[in-house]
Amino acid sequence: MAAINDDRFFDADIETMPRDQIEKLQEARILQLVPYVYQRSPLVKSLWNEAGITPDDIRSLADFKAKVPFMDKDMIRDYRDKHDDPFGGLACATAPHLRGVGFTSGTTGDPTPLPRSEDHISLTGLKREMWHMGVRSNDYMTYMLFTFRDGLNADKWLESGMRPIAIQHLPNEIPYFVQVSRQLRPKAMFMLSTPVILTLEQYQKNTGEDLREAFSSYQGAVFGGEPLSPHLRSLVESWGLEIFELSSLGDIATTMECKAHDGMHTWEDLALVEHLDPEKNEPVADGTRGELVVTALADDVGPLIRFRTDDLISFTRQPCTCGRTHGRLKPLGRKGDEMLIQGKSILPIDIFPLIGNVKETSSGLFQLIRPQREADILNLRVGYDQNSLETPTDELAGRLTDLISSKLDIPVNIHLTDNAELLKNGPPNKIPRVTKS
Amino acid sequence: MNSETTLSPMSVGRYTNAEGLPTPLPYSSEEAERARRAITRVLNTFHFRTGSNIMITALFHEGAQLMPLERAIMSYGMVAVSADSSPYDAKRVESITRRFQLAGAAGISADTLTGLEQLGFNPEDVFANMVVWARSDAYEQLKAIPSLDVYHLIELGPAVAIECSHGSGAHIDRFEWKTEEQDGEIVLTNRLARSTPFQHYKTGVKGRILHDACQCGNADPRIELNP
Repeated sequence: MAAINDDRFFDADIETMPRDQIEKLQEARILQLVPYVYQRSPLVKSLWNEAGITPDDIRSLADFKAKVPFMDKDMIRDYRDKHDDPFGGLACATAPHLRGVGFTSGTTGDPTPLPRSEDHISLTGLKREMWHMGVRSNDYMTYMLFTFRDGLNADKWLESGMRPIAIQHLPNEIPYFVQVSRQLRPKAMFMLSTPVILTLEQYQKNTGEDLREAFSSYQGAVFGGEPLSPHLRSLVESWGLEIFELSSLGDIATTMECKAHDGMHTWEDLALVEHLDPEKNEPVADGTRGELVVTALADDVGPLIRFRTDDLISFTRQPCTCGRTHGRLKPLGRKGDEMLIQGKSILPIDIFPLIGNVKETSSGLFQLIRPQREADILNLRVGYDQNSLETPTDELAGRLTDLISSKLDIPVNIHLTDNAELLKNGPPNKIPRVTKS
Repeated sequence: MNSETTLSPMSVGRYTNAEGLPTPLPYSSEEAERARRAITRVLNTFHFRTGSNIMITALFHEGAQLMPLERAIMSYGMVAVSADSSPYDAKRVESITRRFQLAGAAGISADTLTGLEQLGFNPEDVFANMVVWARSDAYEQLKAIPSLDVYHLIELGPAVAIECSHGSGAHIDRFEWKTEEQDGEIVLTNRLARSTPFQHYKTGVKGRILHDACQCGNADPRIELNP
């Protein structure tokens, strides 16, 4: 295979690797990983012994996908609690190869530790994405890491030549963020979240600052954390920013959109991505709804092996028009949030654009009422803005019912609530999207 | 190369300038490596066992000051366990102290103590049986708890000074900084090339500089805060 010399890519050999070579690389890494992880990870050994699997049974990538048992977050937490092991049985190394421990956000319990070596795997993919966005050696980028505590890792960008400007991801840092954007003219904004956008909006109103001018050096802004509502999207775009959405690739790495904006790139040299029927555990077709299952391919400290993420995605392995060949996913929601309405799968992401495009409900506040997974009719609580109301609420409810039932082809029952009332169900500007009652 | 030369920055952190305003602090990999070596001289005085876990609480923009501490922990052969030093991350701090067997906790701030208090945790329990390096705004509160083993971590704008096991002042890198006292305030001038030079930088920290030989064996001068 000839080397590719194309400045569009940070790591051209990897990013444009043909599918057969990606799979060859994955198989090589899997076959090294299997005996290593079986011997060193107590959780893996326990799960594989229970399933009657040994490394000798795994001779190929196909064997791995067919025979290796799954793991999930509950199994890791159970192991942690039963064995008083903070790593949940995942750690395969000790110091000095084990160098540091970062954490997930911890929104659903004690934060999950993420052990790491000298390499920060999560940054490997991000360097490709920032380069694609237009950041080059000696360029600055704002670096407001969101939710993951990964230590002070600005030096881990050194081999890319990119210069991160580290800023704490907190709304009260906004004046400083705007100041350094003007002063150092960064090329990429990493990263925005709903609270940061809302604070920027307020900051603009309070100070009269011209954010379009302040942000004019940026070639893109990364957004992540939850789906982006139409209102927030148009707000960010009004500052002249192209938005690149980002999500987590099952705690192994990040996955992010490119300029084609047609799915987030999953770096398959870092993670083996499986796209499975959540019930039957069989692979599902490209473009359909399935669960993301990942195996870490470049982590010898605490690799996740066939980790069920509970994330529902659509996925394709078709090469992207940006020239890169790795798979792309579109996040759809959490498996635990899914409802089956007369057998049809419905997730909060199906509702977001519909609600957000109606003037009175454009704040995007809604909740699926989900006493159980299956129902004959979708009961939806929707918040409206009292000041935008031009018709009686009955008429608004009727319009929403017609819109949602016709677009989703399911029966819908709308429960309208004032936005202020609905916001009492959660912290400001963020509410649980699924509720039992 | 002399101290007039500026080094190409690796990253941009932050410090508080003489007017008390947050100011970008471009810094280079060479500065970070030199600071790591200076901090290692302090860590060595504790004779930690390799393989130990040390929690480091910091804010993301403190790379110039505290990344060298994180790297020193790692190069010593220990594991750096990370949390934010904001009040919002106190839950993680408590979780780490409970889940991991820690030999030390560095960078503990008043914000962390506030967060712990709001969650109903007692610092005496949370930081028991470990070395604690407290920032100046948390030091007195923790030092007042007799059962804790508390040392200074003093923030000096672009630099930090860290107390050794002897506990008689916080050491500052003698190769990197010319450290002076002016009207009772610590003033810094860089001796070596940096990305951001500092000439007679008034740190706002009131204290005195001790140049006598420290019992720990580290020849770096020490800063002793005014009571």
